[in-house]
Amino acid sequence: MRNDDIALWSLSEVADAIAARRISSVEATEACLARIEVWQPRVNAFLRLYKDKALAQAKAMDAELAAGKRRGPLHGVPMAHKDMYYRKGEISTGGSAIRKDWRAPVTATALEKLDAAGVVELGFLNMAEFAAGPTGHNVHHGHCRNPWDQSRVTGGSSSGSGASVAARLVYGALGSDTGGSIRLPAAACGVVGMKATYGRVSRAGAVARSWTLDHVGPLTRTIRDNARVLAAIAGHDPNDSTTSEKPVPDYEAALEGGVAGLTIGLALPKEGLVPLDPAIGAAVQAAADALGKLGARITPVTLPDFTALYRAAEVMVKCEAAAMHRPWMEKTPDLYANQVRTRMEAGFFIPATQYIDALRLRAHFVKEFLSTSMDSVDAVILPAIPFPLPTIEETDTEQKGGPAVLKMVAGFTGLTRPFNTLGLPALSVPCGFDKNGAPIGLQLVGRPFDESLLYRIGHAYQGATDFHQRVPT
Amino acid sequence: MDEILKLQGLKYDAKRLAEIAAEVEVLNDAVRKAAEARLTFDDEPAAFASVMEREARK
Repeated sequence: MRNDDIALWSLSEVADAIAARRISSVEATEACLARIEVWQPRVNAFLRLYKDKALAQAKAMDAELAAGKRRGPLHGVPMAHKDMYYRKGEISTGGSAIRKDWRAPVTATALEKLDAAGVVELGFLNMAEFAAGPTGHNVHHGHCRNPWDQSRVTGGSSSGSGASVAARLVYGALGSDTGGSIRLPAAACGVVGMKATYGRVSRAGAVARSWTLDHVGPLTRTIRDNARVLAAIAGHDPNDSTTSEKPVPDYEAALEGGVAGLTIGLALPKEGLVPLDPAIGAAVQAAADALGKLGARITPVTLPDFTALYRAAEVMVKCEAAAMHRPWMEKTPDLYANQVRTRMEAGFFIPATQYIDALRLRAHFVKEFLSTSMDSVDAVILPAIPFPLPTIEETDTEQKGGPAVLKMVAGFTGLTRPFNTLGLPALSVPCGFDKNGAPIGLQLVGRPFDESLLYRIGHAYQGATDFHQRVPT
Repeated sequence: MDEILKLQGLKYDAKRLAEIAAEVEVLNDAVRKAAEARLTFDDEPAAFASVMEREARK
């Protein structure tokens, strides 16, 4: 092991050490708790910490192992999750004031799968209110802060997931992604985030933002860690009819395939909803160069005009959110942050025909993207966030408002939301630091259900770089 | 707009309604133009899931 502090080990390292009984799950849990005590006041990543319960769970995992029972490759590993995954009988706020005392009637399928895999649950994490917001602001529970620079945003909506993994408070966390909400905090906090193919992971028991565009997925420190968690939560679920019956591959087994012989398309969009900052473009170009040195063929690709995909996604989100939030918006509108409520209101006025057309367009958008931008490449790489990370104050729409602030906030999802419309797998991997010392994220996009290939590329890249090993101090 | 408000059971002042109208117009225009160029009578929402399964790497 490369460090005496267990909390700094990767999920895979700690899981393998627990399995080999070199360390105990209790030791790993205590290491996380010690770090949480120091970092929680700085970053506000946790909404609820289950210290005693987690230690008891860890003790039980150690006892099982001593008795010869290993549940799986995550046995005894401490994790925590965005506060939108239901745990039967326990509070689940969805980052809101409306549900601050609400208790879930069921347990999310993803949590059931992690339970079965032996994960220790440290608690639940901060998030944007009802997963609506790409920055990490939350007026009800306090803003989540970036471990690399606490004046800067974490990205959202899975803000606590990104911050807690980056600060080494947990070994991995579940997030969810409707327009970039896994990839944005992964990019902003310098960790790995996977939005798998739509239908790869069950959404059952997770707070919905948009049934059509929501994706459940993990944030971790390394690609190997991410592959291990996705393998545990992926697969068909009778409780979510949109899940695919395709078998789940052994993602870890495919990691060492390398990139030699692969063709990777490099997209550095100069035009579009948000201009690409040159420094971000340079970091992504450098990542492409690194992959080229590893044997991949790098070729420039042109992305389609994302405007229609982006607007179609907005139509879906607004209509679906307006429908599900309508009772609360009528009875308790003041319990929403203004920007959360106002973003949904247009959904009441969009004709059903427009909403249905947006749904009907998805198949066409996917076919077009695959037959143009991805026609002759195995994967496409592009930035996750197109500009250097702004501060919490600069992007505070509740306090500042105005077109410039709203435009900057909307710009976060300019290069991520289209892949929710397309439903394609998209992975964010740390690829550098901006002029302020905040992380930069490289986004990898693949064909449907091609998560294995994205992990393979990301793993090769992490083998040649050390951005994922740097720890905020 | 008054009729829509009545049908939906909503209350908004004129200023907010104007803001929402501008927002909806942008969204509707984008979807309508994309639909005009692509959609036929036989397109249905469920085609998306079929395409995803079909286009997966073999």
